Amino acid sequence: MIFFRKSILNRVFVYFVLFGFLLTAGAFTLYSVQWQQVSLWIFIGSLFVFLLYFILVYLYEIVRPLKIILDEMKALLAGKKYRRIYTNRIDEIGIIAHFFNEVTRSFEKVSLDIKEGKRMLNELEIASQIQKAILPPQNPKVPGLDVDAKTRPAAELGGDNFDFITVGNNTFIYVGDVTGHGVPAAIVMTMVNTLVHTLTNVYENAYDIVVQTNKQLKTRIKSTMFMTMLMFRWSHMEQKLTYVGAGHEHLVIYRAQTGKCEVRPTGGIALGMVPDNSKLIKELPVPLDVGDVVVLYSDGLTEGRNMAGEMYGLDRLVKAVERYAAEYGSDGIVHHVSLDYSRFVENHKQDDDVTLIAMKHVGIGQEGASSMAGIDTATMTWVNDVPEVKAADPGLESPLA
Amino acid sequence: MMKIKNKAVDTTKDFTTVAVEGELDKVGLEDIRTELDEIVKSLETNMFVLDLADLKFINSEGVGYLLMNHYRLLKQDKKFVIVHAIDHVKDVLDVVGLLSIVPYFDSLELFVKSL
Repeated sequence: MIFFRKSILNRVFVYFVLFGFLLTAGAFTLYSVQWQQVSLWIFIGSLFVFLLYFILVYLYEIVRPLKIILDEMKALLAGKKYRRIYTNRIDEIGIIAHFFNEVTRSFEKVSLDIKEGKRMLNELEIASQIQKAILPPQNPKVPGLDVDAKTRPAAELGGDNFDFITVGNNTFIYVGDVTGHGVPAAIVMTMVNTLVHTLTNVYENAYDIVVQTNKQLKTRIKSTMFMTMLMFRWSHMEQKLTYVGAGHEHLVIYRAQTGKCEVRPTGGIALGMVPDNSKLIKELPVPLDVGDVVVLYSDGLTEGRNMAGEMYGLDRLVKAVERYAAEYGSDGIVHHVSLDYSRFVENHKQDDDVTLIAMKHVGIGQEGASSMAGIDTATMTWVNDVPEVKAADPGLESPLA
Repeated sequence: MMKIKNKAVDTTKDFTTVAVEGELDKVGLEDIRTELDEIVKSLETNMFVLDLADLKFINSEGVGYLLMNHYRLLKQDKKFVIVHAIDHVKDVLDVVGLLSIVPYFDSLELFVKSL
């Protein structure tokens, strides 16, 4: 039976043998009844039956099933609705039908994967929009301080975070960098932003805010994750700046009087590393004169590499700040430093999120020109995305504007 | 490319030293994670010493992995020690505050002397 079902040729062979046997039996019968008495019509009729038999076998066993398969294949190729082909046959026709079913099943899986991919991309896009919406929509109006910021995530979602929160006579300014980038980093970034916004309404100093943020964060993130942070408090009345370091990059302070930068380790321990950081961090003052600039950044900036694999580094950042800090407001400083960075890294792939913030002390009763500028969080353009601006060009755009 | 350069067990002083080589970032981490996880998991001594003399670069993901190992060993009542990092790597570990929770020695000899 298996021999019969395994191949069309076997099937035809079996039919042929069967019919030949019948024919021989018929001929033997005719011979036994004296074949000369058999009329020509009976002979022709027998041949016709023989022929008809083979035509029917050919039509029902080969042509019809092949037509069904071809019709479904045409429908598939034309993008029309097609059906699976169900058959018990294990011969060539069965193999083709099985192949067709497998191909269509794979197509359906790929199609579902593409749909799922599109859905996930849409969700990533939404998450990216939500994250951009979390970042401040515009540079803050801070009495005595001219602030400008710029950020660019390495992926759709980033782990860099900054915000300006004014509560009463204090403005809290922070920059944070979560381990890695992408979705996990973005979730932690969002969590911290929410915590900081809530805690600034409860506590009046940066120290308590950082201690409480760490306490809440540690219980909610996995042990490989942490977030470095630099939290500043600018007192409007006293015109004084204090900060709390939580394992963040060095603080760069440009001194207008000397034209040089002071580089200060920020100290502390990154958020999420220990359950209680209260003994490991402290709030320190940053004495500022008018014209002094505080520059904040994430490690994506100093660790940005050029095509030769060389890192931008702290020294280049300091030199760039010293070159532009006296001449420009915070927007110009951010613009030119980011331009310097972009020229250095050229087209090297951005491995990490990059954030740069400049805060220039402009004196009592003053607000920086850039403080009115809006932050374009929708495009997050970095300097290499916008036309190059000459140093003397008065029409500088705020890099986030 | 990151790899485990050497592994040595000192049963008398009860510590295992693992020396790594390369760059401990996202890519480098994938190169050694399985092997290093296995070493930490099946650690027979009470101290695990990571020798970073040939580690050229570390980023926050690398630091995160070291932090996880610190807690993993702490959970087993064991101690995680870092030795011999080059200046740049030591700066990174110091800046994020890891060295305020994980003991650090400038060389393996200094660590052995401290025992």
